[in-house]
Amino acid sequence: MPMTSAAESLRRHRLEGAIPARGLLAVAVAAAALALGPGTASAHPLYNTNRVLEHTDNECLNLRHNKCRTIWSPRVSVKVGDAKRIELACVPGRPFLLGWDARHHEHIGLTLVSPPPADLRAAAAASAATTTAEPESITVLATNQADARGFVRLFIGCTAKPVVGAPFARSRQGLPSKALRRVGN
Amino acid sequence: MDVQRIIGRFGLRSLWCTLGAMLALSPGTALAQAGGSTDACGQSGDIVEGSVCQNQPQAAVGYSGSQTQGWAYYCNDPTYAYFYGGNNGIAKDNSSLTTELGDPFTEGGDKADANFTNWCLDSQALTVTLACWNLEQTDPNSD
Repeated sequence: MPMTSAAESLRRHRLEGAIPARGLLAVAVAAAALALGPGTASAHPLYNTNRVLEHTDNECLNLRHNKCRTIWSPRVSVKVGDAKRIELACVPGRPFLLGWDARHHEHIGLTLVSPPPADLRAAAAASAATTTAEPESITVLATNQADARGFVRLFIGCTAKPVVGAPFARSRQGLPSKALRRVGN
Repeated sequence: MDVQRIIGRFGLRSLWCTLGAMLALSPGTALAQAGGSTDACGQSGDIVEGSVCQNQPQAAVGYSGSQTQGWAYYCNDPTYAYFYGGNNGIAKDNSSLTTELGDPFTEGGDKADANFTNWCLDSQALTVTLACWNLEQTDPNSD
């Protein structure tokens, strides 16, 4: 395949090591931007700070969309060494919390802070307290475990009627995949 | 040479998935039978005499590759409302995931709190079955 004159010129420059400094800088910046992805570049020995753990639709636990509505948070940034509490509530038409899920960086660990709805409802029933009309909500603590900024978006599933006995997620953590790769080699 | 043949046949991902699950085994960790299991009652340990067990399948859950999720599962039938059996009280239909359970006696009641780790690089689905009993089981270490 014949080379265009521009490509041939670039090839010649490369061979001669004559790419101008400005060009090299542009290539370096572009490479850095690609490496950054949504987070920040990092040389952390354990965590791959660019890997994103996808949302796996666990918030509605396979209920049909007409029975369970997904509500999501804004994308939350978690700085290095920081931990953030993320709160999300169901809506008046679908006030009962069924579950939660998230899309997050590998190095952002998520832990449920608020009690699971089943525990709250059991406690309310035991104390004969009347359930409030307020939509149920959730609080999750997002902790940055590496040396790069990371992101998380929380998803909750909400229903019109409470679903009794449904399992409830307590935490989500990405395995430190750099460390695992090293063990695998 | 054999390793290369195995990797070539099943793929590096599958091999790592299996090795990862085996490496992760520890006294507090359980690996389900090959191919997974749905008979939690059958694999449960010592029980109170006269008690009856029911297998209670739970909702399927999705896992990203190389991920741990902690879950609270509940026995739902009021007749069979007590969870017991330690790691063996939880059966998994996917043997690529390992289980690490909290103390079954401190948890008590109808709830089983456990962490599940997907050692595969790709996403996996897991359906858990709980061993749920009609009588509360007691801690054999207590007086």
